[in-house]
Amino acid sequence: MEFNKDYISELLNLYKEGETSLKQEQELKLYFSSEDYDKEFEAYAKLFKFFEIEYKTQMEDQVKGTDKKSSSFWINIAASICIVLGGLWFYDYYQNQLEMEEARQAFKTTQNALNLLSNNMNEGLEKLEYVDVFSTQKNKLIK
Amino acid sequence: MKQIKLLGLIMAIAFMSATGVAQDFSKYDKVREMNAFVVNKSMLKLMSKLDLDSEDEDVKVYLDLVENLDDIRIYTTESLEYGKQLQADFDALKSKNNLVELMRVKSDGKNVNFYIKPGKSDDYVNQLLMFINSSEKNDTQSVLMLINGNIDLKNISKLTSQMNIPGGKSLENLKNQ
Amino acid sequence: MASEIYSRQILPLQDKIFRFSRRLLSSEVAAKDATQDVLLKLWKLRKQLRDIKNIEAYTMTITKNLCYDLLKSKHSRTLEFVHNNYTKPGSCLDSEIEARDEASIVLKLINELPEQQRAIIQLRDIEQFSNQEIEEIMGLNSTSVRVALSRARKKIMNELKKTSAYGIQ
Repeated sequence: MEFNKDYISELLNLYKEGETSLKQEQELKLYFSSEDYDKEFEAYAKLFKFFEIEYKTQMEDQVKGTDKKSSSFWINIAASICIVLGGLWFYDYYQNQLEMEEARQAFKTTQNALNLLSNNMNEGLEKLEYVDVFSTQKNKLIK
Repeated sequence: MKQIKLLGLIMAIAFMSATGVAQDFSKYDKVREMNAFVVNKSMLKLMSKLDLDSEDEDVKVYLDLVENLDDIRIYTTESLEYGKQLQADFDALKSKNNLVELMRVKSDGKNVNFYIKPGKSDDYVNQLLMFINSSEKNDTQSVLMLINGNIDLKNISKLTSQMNIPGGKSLENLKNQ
Repeated sequence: MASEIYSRQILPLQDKIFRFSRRLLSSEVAAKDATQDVLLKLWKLRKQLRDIKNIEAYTMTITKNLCYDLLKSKHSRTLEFVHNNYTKPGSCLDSEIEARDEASIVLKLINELPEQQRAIIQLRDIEQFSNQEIEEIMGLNSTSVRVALSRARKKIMNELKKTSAYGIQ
């Protein structure tokens, strides 16, 4: 046995005075847990054995906690983040769609504007064309 | 110090002349009789990103044009009084920016004026100014259009032109005059 | 989250609460009821649990107070049943019986102690709380705890010696 009799005696005296530390009490429990203890200490053995038994008793019909772990906390956080991100993405997409729609409208009008420009320009050019032909003809005649 | 001041002055002038056009037209923002259509560079960029039917050849031409534009401004009015204002604006613009007359057409009771600032080559202009008003009493419509950018005149003509080569020839003639 | 703290920290203490109540009330049936009461009380208080430093000690304090109240009200009618329903994981029958017999004597002796000494023996020798924790739970200073513990232990030891001396097992 690790502990000698004198040491145990000493501990037991301290124990009776209520002056042992938890560690020392643990040593006593250990000493008395096997059958190797000195039979002089028989009475003490009963006590410490009792303590060991008591320590291990469990209550029947225990209340069970939910098996939901704290991961649900983080899952909730993750879900919230996803929702926010999803929302942002949709917002961005929507804004983009709006922009595109605006651009489409603007483009239509731009087309019209350019057409206006083009028509007028071409009208002028036609006239020129006419004049050109006319002058060519005229020159033909004059020659 | 003096050089910095000079530089500052030059930059201010450059800035002002660049935005000179913008200064003119904000006065029309609150005027009901004046219709405005203004497209700036970022919108033009968006336009070129649109997923339009690029199978359609016509649309492609528009897109090509649009890509090279910096901004488009159009002001129209049915009001005689504002029409006169637009005329004044037109006169101011063409002289301030030293624009060159491209062509003047008068037909069907309408006066159309084209002024340009020449661009990198014969077909290109950096600024195009068009003013339309009516010479008839009962028609009070006026239109002022100002476009900045790398404008290909040939392409503009192409948009609505039925004739291809002849138009091009006329354009060349115009340039050579 | 409050229910998390409760689940993680309070529910594992059920056995301790039960054993402590059983020590104080000397009845398994009463101890079960008391345990339920303590658990319910702590559930209602779960939001405050976060602010408590030593939840175990706090739980035992609540158990002690509850049991003392029960003892006070039932003073004349305290059940003296001692059910030997020990649930000891994995031991064979013979040693269990033997242990039980030996234990019965100690149990009897402990039950004969005054409540306070019973409580302190339980907290120290069985549940292994520190001096400081026991002071907190019992609401006593260190000297009082030491003295009570010493008295209890000496009493039990002397009785046990007497029993051995007479050869009674």
